[in-house]
Amino acid sequence: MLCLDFFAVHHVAPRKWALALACIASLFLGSAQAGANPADPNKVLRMAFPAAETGFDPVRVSDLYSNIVNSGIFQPLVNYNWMARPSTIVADAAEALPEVTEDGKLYTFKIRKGLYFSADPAFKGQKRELTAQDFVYTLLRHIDPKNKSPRVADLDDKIEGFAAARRQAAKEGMNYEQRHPGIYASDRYTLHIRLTRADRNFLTLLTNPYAGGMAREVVEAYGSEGTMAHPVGTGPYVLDSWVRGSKITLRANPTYPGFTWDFKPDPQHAQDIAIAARLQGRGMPQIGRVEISIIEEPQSMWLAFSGKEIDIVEMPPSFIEKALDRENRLQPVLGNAGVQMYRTVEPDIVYQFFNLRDPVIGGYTPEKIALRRAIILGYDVDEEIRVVRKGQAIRAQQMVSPVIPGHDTDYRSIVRFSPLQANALLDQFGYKKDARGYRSHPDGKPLVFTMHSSTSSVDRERDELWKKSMDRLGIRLQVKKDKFAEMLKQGKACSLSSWGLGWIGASEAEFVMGLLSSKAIGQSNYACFENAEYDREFERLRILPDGPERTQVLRNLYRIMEVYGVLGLSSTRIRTRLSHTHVDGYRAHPLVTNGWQFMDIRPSAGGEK
Amino acid sequence: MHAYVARRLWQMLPTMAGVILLVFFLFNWVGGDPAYVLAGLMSNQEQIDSIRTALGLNEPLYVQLWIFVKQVATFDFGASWTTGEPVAQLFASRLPASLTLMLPLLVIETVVCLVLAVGLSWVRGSRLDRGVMVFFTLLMSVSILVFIIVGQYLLAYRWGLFPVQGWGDGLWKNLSTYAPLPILLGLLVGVAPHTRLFRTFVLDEVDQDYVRTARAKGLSEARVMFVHVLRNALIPAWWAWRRTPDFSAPLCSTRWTRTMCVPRAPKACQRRG
Repeated sequence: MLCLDFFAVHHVAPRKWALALACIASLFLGSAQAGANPADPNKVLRMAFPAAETGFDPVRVSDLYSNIVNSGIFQPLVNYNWMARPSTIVADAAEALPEVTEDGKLYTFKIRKGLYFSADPAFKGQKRELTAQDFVYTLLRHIDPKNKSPRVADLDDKIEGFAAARRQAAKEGMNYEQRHPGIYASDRYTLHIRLTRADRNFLTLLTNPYAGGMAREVVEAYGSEGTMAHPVGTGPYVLDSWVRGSKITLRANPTYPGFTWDFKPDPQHAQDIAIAARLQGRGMPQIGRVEISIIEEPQSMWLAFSGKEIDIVEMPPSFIEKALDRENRLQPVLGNAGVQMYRTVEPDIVYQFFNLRDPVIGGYTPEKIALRRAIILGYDVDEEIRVVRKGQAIRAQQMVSPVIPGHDTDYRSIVRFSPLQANALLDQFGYKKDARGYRSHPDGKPLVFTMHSSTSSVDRERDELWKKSMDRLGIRLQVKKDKFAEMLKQGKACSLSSWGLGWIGASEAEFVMGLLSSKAIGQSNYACFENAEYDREFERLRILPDGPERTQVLRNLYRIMEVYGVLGLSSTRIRTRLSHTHVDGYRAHPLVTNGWQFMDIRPSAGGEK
Repeated sequence: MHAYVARRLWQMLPTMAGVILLVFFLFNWVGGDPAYVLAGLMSNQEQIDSIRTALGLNEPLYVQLWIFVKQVATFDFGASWTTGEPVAQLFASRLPASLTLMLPLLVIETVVCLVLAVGLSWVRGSRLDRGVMVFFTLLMSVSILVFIIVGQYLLAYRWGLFPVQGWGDGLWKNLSTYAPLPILLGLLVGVAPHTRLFRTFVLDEVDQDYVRTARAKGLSEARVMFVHVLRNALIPAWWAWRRTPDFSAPLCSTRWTRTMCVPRAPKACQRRG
């Protein structure tokens, strides 16, 4: 705690008076004129990523940190409302939400007029307006095998003719001139996307920067290689400079028209209400420059924040006790220094899957189901949360995270941690213990449960917990370490017995529940679970509108999963974000990766920025 | 001379071939299939196969090996699989940062260690010599991580002498602001083993006949030590520099540059293609 004391005395106190002045000054901020980006180049937001970015061609990257930057540069057709809970989708580069016809299969978007790409030599000095064709081009780039798009799996079976075009392009090369049956523009501002079948959550895919409009002439001017370093979009920011793996600097895009901060906060959420009260009506974006350092070491990250070298931080889990006390409240020394805290439950889910085709733990016979259920009952998730996750997670009762639409607050899992019950179940089904206390199969063969895990430190700690939990049941545990790529390969081939997986940013019940559909075997159904009743219920889930019937279908799905012992649900993370006192409106949306254009910096009277 | 150079170059070939084979097979077998990682958790077999085809991974191994050999021979390492940028360009964009740290450290460390080594040999066996040797042995027992973590915490964070992390655009800015802390810590790590090593080289020389002759000629002790002895001790020292790759290893280690957030060779560079 030494560093915290120091932080309070030497770094923050001299700034308080300056901030008081800054607060007053901020009251006199003028409102923005429509049509001009109101961002102030003197308002600089300094932040850090804990992992290096890949690059800024949204079609070719899938890592979170590249996507955060890409979301600032490329403008999607639709996006999430910044404040609404549960999350709702609103128009962004589109004039309005699309018109959906042909029984939910044809989406027609009208593109907003007067949106311009940021200036680039590729435009030869001309202003270049965003058109429907730019969205067609971006989506077609995913088909082009040259781009090795990591998003193909998202789009392949959703858009009409996507997979067929991809196969054709692999054979004959990509032809961007050919009209695609599923993605086309009927005039300059009208975009059509035809789906293979009605899909409730197709729009959520289009909120991603990988579906944002890209100018073909820019991509062709810089080539496939150069586009990573020359992102040109219509979003609020443009890339200013980039030192790979070290520093990314963005500045406000002068051609971005700006908008007025006008969002309704959740009436239950005091912090959001306060943010809205301060920012409501302000011309956005305000921040004129964003400087991102890559700081991979948690100590460096924390020292950079407490030394005020960065303005905001997503607390590294290993340093969480610097920010929070035992009751998860902000450390008083930080609170006194004006540091703001924003804690959120994340839209993710961590679970352990059990392979139904594994010779040891797989199978649908009663004794195999009993074995898996005993393993799940015997694993102490609460201890994992307490020890491995340092209390920064909540126990998952269902696949859908509490911040995702479709989460059922009334649902209670039948799985409770109970070594007693687990042991009784194993005894009942004939898994006898030997002299050393380890169990064998009912047919007398020794029982060894094999689990795969990565070499990360979190996984090492989890391995210990698993060992402890399985020892309590008398089950011999063998942990196999392998490379991520190798485990993916084996997992898709149904030859991994058990592995802990996590999905971050999983946005819809349909997505997470689809992980156990038999159609996803060989793709994302790593448990290789096959159940006709589950598949039937899942097909209903895909089409049912929100309402009690859909809730019931979800409950049925959860129950089938629990009864067969397919997944041992673990937890959903809680993130703690801190900001220094001069940052205004720093919050997080569960599904929006980038909120720079919704935040502000209070000008500092001391000119420290 | 020409024959010597030609012979040495000729002898290099088997070594290079061995290294190429080793690297190629290491990345093929130990690295895992990159198509699975690129295709992501949701992908199906057909999508993975199409990425494998695009990367050329479906070619027979000998074809892939030949491509790799050609790349090495022409110094054209192709484009990174992850970012699509030319690997040479990725290296070029980061090399200056590594050199900004390594060159000053190399120079400073050499000078400091040599002066210390000669000075300590001069007073060999004295309390000062023994005391410093004991201290250096202790210093060598401390893990490099401790130097980095404690150094960053105390020197940068508590005392504010340096920035905690970062890297700028200009050479002068980097040299004056961001590089000093890593260089200083590098020096702290390297000074003990290298001074001890150089001291033994100097001690090997001080009992030689030519030293006695020089002293007999009436030369000053300083001239004997810093001119005659040092010059001869430099020969093994030079070999030590060349032959111990770990001299610069601390700087190339990920931990080092990660903690100080200095740009380093990208991961993509470590892959073929």
